[in-house]
Amino acid sequence: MADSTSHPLLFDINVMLPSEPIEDKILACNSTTEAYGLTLTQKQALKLVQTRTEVLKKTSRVEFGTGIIDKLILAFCDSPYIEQQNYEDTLHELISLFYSAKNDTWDTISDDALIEFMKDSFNGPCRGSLELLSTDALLPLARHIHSGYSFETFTYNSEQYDTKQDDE
Amino acid sequence: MTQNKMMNKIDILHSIPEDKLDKRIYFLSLLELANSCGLLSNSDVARIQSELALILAEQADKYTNGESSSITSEKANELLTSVMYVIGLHLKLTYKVPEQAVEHIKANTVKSVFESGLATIERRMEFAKHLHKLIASRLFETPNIFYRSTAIDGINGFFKLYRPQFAAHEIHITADYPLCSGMPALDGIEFIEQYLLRLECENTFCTLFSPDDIHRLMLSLSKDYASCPVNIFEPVLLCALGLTLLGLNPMRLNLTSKSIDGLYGIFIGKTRDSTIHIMKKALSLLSEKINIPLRVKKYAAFCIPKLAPGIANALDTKSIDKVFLVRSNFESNTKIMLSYGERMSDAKYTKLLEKLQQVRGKAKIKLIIEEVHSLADLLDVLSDAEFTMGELEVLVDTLPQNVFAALLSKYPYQALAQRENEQMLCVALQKKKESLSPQMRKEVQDQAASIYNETFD
Repeated sequence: MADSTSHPLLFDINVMLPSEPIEDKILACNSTTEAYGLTLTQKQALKLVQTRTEVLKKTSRVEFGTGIIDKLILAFCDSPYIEQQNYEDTLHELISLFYSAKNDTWDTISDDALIEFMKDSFNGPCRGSLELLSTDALLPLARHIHSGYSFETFTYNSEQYDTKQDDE
Repeated sequence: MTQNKMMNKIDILHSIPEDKLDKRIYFLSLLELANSCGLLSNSDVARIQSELALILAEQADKYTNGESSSITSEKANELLTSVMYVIGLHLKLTYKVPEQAVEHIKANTVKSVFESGLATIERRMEFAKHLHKLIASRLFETPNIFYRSTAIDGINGFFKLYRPQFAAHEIHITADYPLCSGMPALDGIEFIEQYLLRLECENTFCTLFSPDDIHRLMLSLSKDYASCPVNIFEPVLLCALGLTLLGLNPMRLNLTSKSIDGLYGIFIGKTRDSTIHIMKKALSLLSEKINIPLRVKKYAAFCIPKLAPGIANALDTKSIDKVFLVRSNFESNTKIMLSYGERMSDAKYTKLLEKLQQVRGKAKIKLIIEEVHSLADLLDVLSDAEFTMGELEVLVDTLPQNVFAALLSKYPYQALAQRENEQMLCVALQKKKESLSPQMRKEVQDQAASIYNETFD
């Protein structure tokens, strides 16, 4: 079938999408994160939204609604490895890792499950290292999915990653 | 240009030239033409655009079961194309005049048109299923593997895979059996419906003749016709028309080399239009003689202009016997009837596919052996599930000889296989065949060659 996106009159999907008040949702998280000594300014919230837009473009994804930044904030705010000084930078990196992982795992994992996995890995075996989160947790997870296994059968620990799947 | 001719070019009642509307991307082309001729303002277009965005967001949410806030751009484009197909189909089928379709979209929300479109597709699906059952219940008997594999298995595959909610424009199957009138230049359910309507006409026409007479006629086209994607209706129609033109009984499809000369005399020196006229006249005579149903007669008349160039070319090259075939005297061998068995329910099948996605290697093959009990389901699984070469080799090794022969008969050549899965299966089957002892190999080959599909209920 002819590609509708090539039509000159309408339908650049990213232009079509209504803008949602993401910034407000991010700032609303401050009331929860303050308890952990973490807050974001309006300027920082705006930067996070910009990162989201750029990463979505880079990963060729389209997002509807207010997205996942607030979910990432609320999931990671109690991490022992995040302090106010690395808070914003960590969030930028987590946003990038999240959307790349959605692509790399072929959209087989729900947002909530992926965030949960990222949080557990980051706070656990990765010991707060975003690099380890990327290379030792998310990459093996993607390989696991590419081998035909499900997310539920993936187990990750710092020593090695393995599957619960029985050998042939 | 005279004034009269200029007047004829201007349609004062219709602002949208129908011939410029694209039947495949109807909604987009309607919007574009309506916008350019002023029937839709820019603000109308903006309103439609924002309503489409909301539908897209809802569709994405349904597609991900509300579990993902984002999807790939590729998937978003697919969902949007599907939404626009649904809307376009509804407008195209409901309003004969495009201006009325534009009025409708102006007076209603895009969402309501989309929902009406989904209901339209449901009705079309029911009609197509009914038509398919009708064809299946009277399927003309032929050893041609593409005929059955498309008319029964392929179309069944479409109904199994078609999801109008998210991919209404998709066809999913390749519809390998070629129709005399060519493939409908349409998408989604429209394609399947048109394909089935045309196939039903071809099938009904062929059932007017003896399967054995048609088999022998087709053998004169090619001894391997059973494993080739060739149209059967066309040579049968041409032969019956040829016999009618010669004043002979068309029922046996038994043109001879001598009678072919008579046809040469009838067509030589005739223009394309005269040839079409002669053929259409012969069709009327044939219709009276063998009681061709009206819809089938209309379809045959629609096909005749496509056949005329072939006749003209054959006259030029003195090879008219390649168009009006002379029946072969080759007698068919005894055939083994192949039963497809009873299919499992769609729900059970979907569950099985999900399970197969979770396992690999021997575990996957074990699951198939345990859960699949009919050839029909086995063929579906081989087509729909994903396998590695090693897995297919294990599966082929595990199969009983009669099932192995049945698969060999269905997938005789790798070159004929369309999907990657089928190509790998062909390789695995050939590999297993080569590993057999010469005697066993001959036995399996004979078995595969003599398999004849049972009539599907």
